Amino acid sequence: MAPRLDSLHGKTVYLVDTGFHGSDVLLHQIQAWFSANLPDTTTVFKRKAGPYAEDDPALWKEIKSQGNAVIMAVGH
Amino acid sequence: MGIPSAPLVTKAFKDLAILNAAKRGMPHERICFTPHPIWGKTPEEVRAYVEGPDPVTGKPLMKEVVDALTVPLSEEDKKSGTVSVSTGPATFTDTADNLQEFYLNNGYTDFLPIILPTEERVDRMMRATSHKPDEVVGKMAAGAYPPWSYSVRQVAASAVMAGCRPEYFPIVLAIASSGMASLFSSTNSFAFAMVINGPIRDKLEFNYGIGALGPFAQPNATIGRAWTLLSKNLGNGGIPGDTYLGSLGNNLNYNNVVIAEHEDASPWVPLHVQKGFKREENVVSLFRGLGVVPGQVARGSSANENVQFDFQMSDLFSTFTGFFGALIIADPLVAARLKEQGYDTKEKLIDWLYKNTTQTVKDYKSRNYAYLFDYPRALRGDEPWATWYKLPDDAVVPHFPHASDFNIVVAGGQTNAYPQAGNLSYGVSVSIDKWM
Amino acid sequence: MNRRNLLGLLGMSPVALAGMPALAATDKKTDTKKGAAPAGPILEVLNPRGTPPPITLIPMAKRLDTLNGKTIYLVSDGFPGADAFLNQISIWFKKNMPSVTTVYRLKAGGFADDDPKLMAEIKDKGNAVIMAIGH
Repeated sequence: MAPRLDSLHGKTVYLVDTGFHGSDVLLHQIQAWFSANLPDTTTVFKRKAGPYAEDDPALWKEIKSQGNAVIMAVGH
Repeated sequence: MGIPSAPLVTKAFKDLAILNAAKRGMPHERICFTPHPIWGKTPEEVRAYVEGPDPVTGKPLMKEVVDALTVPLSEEDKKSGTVSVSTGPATFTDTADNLQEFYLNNGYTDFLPIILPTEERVDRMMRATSHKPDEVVGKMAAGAYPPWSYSVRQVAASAVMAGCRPEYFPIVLAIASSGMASLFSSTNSFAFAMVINGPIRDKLEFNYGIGALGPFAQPNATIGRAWTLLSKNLGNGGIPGDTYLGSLGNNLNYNNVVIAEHEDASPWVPLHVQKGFKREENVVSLFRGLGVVPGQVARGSSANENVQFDFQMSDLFSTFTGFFGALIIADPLVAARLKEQGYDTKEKLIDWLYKNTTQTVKDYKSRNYAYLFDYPRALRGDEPWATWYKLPDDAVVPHFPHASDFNIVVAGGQTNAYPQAGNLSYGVSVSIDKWM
Repeated sequence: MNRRNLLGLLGMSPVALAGMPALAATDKKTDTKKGAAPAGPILEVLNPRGTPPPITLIPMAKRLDTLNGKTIYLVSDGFPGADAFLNQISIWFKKNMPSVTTVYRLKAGGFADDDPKLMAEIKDKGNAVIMAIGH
């Protein structure tokens, strides 16, 4: 597994939607939670391209370049 | 009645017509045959049929019709009395392989290997009921035919063949006692379903979770199969051309749709209680119709909308034939959502669906079943059809004639909020406890 | 008629089958034994069939000497196309046997239902019936 971050303060967390019903709604609520509770964490919402089980190399590249962590959701 | 008659039948039903006439006591009935089909033809085409030959005999059709009414009767035509009908000896003796082949070749099976009904296996099956082996369980006909009757022992043979455990036998007896065959003669290729309610679901380990309608538990698989085998053997159903005319057939007939209701996960009263039984009673309810379809394909199921299962179902049901009813099979997640939306009873949902699933009179009259079944009923004064046929074409009427055409059961493993729906009419509910 | 259809009449008395060429080739498979010696233990198993009802023979109604001057009821059982077909039969009678009176009626109820009112009318006013049809 990839090494963990010491802290989420000042970091950029990508919120990645797999496309299942309700994922976007859930992740936007997580984004609101971060705004309220960890305001110095930057969150970026992205919908993964392609159906839920497929890779999205362009997005992974962007996250590797600009992000520090990923929260991905969700199964149903 | 004493009036000479000449029945006309299209050629596709030649064997059915001849055999049925014989079974009903007129083996020499003078049936005349026409080409098939006759509907959808122009007047000129139909005239050519009338002026042309009987496609079975090759003789001029109208000469046959006139002869049918005027050629004097033979001594055979005038016979009365009773003819006994036998189905062969009480037992068969051979090796297991030969018997499997024999049963298959004689139409006793569903063309899958069976458990051979030896005396020992049948006796073991019968120990699961308090009813005596020779007690008559019921009568069954797979259509408009004279019904066959059958005993506990005869039902046990079909239950053994299907692979049922003895503890399943009271359910099979209950189904047999209903007289409802799961193979029906219609050219429409009917499908059949059963709903199991009561503590017996858990006692026998019916599956009503993930894969509730699929091949995932022995009682679901074998009891459904037993219904088909007994319909063949005890109700004389499923003989192509004679007692089965389904043009395409229906794959669900292999073991029918078996639904054990997920009573604990349902926010509503279970089906058998709605039909007048106590919750602790064990009951099987039977349905007949055309099949089951998935509900998630209907409009209004988009992820971006506040999912409205009621509208989704209504949209789906508007594609069903109103000749049969609608059986909603709701995953518990769907049922929970519907309750949140205000349908705290099945009756409230049914009332909404009945009033909001509609059609114009013009559309209604254009439907095949309306012409064949409802119009003759309307002429007889039966409601609501008598009223519907008097309304203007742009009037709106319910898609299903009665609210009682809707039924709801809850089953499924809650992996997703999906319903399925059967274009199925409720038939009867039978006590399983009575057959223990 | 193939063997599968004949199973519906398995064991039926030859009295009822007499004169029915379509049923002449009855093939009753009650003998399971094949030509070669059997392999494996011999089992005795139950005949799984139910009990068919006895057949009560119904004598056919006396035929008419002629159709000339008679009234024939053309009765539709409601299947699509039956009305159009019987209409053509009515036209045939007008052209070929003009002294025959034809009366068209749609039987009430579903196709397998009785229509006692119509039967009473036919008994009172008709001499013969032509009924149609399956599809």
